[in-house]
Amino acid sequence: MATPVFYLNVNIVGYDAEIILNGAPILQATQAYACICFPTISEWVVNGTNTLQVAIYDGRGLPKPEDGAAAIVVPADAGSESDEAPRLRVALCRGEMGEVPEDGAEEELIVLEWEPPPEDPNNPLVLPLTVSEKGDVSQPWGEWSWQRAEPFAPTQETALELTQFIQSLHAPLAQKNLLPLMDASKPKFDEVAPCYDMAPADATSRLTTAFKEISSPPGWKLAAFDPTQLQLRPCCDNKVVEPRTATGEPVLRQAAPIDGQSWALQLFIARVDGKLAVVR
Amino acid sequence: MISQTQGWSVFDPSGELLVVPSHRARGVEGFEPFPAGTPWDWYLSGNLPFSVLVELYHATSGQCINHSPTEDQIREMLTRIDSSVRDGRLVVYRRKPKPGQSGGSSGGFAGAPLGQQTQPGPPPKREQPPAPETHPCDFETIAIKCSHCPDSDGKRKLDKIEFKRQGSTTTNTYKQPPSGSKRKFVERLQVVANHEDKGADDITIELTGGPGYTCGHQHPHIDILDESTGKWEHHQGETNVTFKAKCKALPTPPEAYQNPLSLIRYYFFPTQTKNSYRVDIESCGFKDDMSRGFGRLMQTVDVYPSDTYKVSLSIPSLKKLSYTKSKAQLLGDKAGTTVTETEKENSSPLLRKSETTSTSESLSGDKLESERSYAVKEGKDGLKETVKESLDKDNNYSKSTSLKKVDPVDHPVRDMAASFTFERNGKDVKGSETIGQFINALVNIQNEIQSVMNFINDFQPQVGWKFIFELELFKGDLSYEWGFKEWEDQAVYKWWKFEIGMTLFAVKLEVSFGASFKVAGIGITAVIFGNVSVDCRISASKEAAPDKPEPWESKLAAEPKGELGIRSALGADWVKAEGKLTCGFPFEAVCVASHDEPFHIDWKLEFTGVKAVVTGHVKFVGSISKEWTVMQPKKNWKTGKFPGGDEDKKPLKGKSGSIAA
Repeated sequence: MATPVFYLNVNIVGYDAEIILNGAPILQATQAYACICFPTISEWVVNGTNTLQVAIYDGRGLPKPEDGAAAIVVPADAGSESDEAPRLRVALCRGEMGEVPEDGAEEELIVLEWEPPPEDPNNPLVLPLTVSEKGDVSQPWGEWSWQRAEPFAPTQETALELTQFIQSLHAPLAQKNLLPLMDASKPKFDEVAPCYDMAPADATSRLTTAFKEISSPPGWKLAAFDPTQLQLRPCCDNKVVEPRTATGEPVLRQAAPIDGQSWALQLFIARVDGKLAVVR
Repeated sequence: MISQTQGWSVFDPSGELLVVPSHRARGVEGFEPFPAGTPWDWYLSGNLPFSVLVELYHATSGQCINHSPTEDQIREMLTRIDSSVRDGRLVVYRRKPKPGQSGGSSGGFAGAPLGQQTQPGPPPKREQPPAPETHPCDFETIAIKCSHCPDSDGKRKLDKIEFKRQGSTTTNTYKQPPSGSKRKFVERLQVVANHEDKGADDITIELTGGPGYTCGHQHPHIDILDESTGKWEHHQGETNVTFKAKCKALPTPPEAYQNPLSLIRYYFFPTQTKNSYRVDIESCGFKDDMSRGFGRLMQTVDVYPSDTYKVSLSIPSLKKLSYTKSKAQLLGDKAGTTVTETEKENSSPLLRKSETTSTSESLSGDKLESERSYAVKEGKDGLKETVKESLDKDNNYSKSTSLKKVDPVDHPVRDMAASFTFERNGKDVKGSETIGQFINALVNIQNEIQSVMNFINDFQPQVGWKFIFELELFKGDLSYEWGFKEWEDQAVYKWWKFEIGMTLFAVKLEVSFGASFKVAGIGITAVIFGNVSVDCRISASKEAAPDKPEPWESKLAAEPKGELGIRSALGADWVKAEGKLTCGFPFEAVCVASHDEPFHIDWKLEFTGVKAVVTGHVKFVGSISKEWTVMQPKKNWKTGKFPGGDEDKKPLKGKSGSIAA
């Protein structure tokens, strides 16, 4: 039997929004251009009830968001604003490995579609707004390690521990030493590789080979890690933390593009069996 | 000395020679044309008596004067008649030899310089120069008009051009065009007429008023020169003269004029067809009281061709063109590039497609090998998929698949229907011969536009493709007429009129194709899909106005609409475009019409290519953003002139307006 692949069919035009699946941030869309893509996210799908959410921060024709709302990072040279009518539709779908999704022939498991409600002075639309849909899904990989992880306590000690953990990955990587990162990512390799018909060794080999090429250009540098700018974003009912900078960028990323190419690695950290690990 | 019946003998020591204006050369009894070789130099080298020069002056001068010419006038006259003799306006005659004479007194100088032949004796007695004229001889008004003055349609409101002399010459045409007009004003009469007798215009010259003509010079003289033939028409003593005015004939264009625009240009207000008639009207110019009167008027009448031309062009929509190959199952092998089987083939009859399957098996030693190949041929390009399997005695099984790259879009536009008529005065002028090259050019452009899809970088045929074109290039109707027309005054102007309702360029393109996005050594087979369109239409009509001769111009531009999406085969990796992913054919056109240039459209087409910043999300590695050029842009890709053909390509013959490419 072919390996199932879960993916999102994202079609967002005219909104600044973020897609969240089971509490994990998957993708951001910007008003600047249409966001039409099909991220494969088998590793975030759970057996049972899955929750698909879209946090809407801003949009064409919507009231301005209240202060403090999260901003979407728009890449430079993103192009002009699309002239298409705003739309927001995200679907969790199931397909098979190697298949090219085709409109109208997809197996949609959860569909989230939203459009602004008619203006109501008594009940004004307040941004940011999070909309969600739930649906039961069955997947063959069982419970994920991040599901079993113990939630992080929102304490200073937790923040310090996570900061030190990230530093322990960042510092060697800055020296192009992948080993600490690979060691810490073992739960990820073990769980995610089989989702895509790979062995954990294939996953490590991929990272090793690709990182060697990515970091090979002269002048390649890892962006500096600044603990004062670190944001620890709780995800998945506080069981997972996504470390990122104040501007929303991954902490492990290339300092500057080289020949137009830039690299970044999003980290999702959980405490697995009492030990901090990169789970996604 | 002077013979009114025979002309003017200007050298008369012996009475052997006559110098006669050419129109009086007929019937000069007893004389014959002087043989080749001019004796004229001798005349002009001081051998002519002054009295002869005076007579010659009166015979040849444009001014009819009643007194002896001055020395300067004589000198000017000698220079003038020299050229007149050389161009045939004056001819030299000699007396015919008398029977029985061997050469006679004049025969001896045949073919030799006159000065050496004649041994003139002492010149005979000559008459004295004539006394100054004392008879009134003049007209008061000269009227020149064409047969359309006034035109029954009311277009030419001018009744006639009247000339009078009150100090200087005055005319009823001496008025300026309307305020604000930029028309160049002409005071002469201009008419339209055919180049043949049938269709020639009648120009009438009428002299009225004045004391009459009592001078004895058979005044008035009305001399008319047809500049196209160099022939003079002379009238003496007539006050009402009508002559036929014709334009010059336009030769058939050379065979090279197969291109519609070059053919139109050939027939577009051809300057070489304009003819002119010089009219010289003369009297002594003395009124009853012998004061100076009108005397003389020289005028020119311009004749333009009366032909009107009409071009009608109608190009229907091209049928929708579809190139599809259904998606094949892309297995999730690590490299992501191997294909195992092709499920189904869709084809269009236009693709001239053929499919072949072959199987071979071989056994060598303990190894069994089989090879299956499937080949699909589409036009000149093909796709060949070969599967090799082998099994040895230890049950080691191996299988490999190879796939040869294919161009997905061939040249399927082979013919198109279009009608093109080019008429002069309602009759066809080589239009049917021209249509071939014209259509061929459009077909070539359409094929080039479509075949740009064959230049996808790292095209991945295994994921199938779909290109559906709705392509319109200069579809619609154009009607264009032109010709010289007489305006309400004495002028002729360049009239033109066009009506156009045309889609200059429109593309609706639906695409879906695979291309490989490579990052950090990992290739992701992505599928680009979506719809884009470009639409550029014009609807306009315009007629030339003589008082507003400014060129008409309209600039048009069309930008692509629509957006492409990107997806990848389901697997560990996926891609996302960071920015607009578009594919477009920006089109610009400048439509121009004026009396200097025939209606045409200069157009330019570009191809934006497919280029975007794309982020590849590679599992375990991270996200890598880079600029990805899926298809190279083509700046200033195609330019052309409509309705022009392809200068480099010979026309192809087709059936009833269609052509086989």
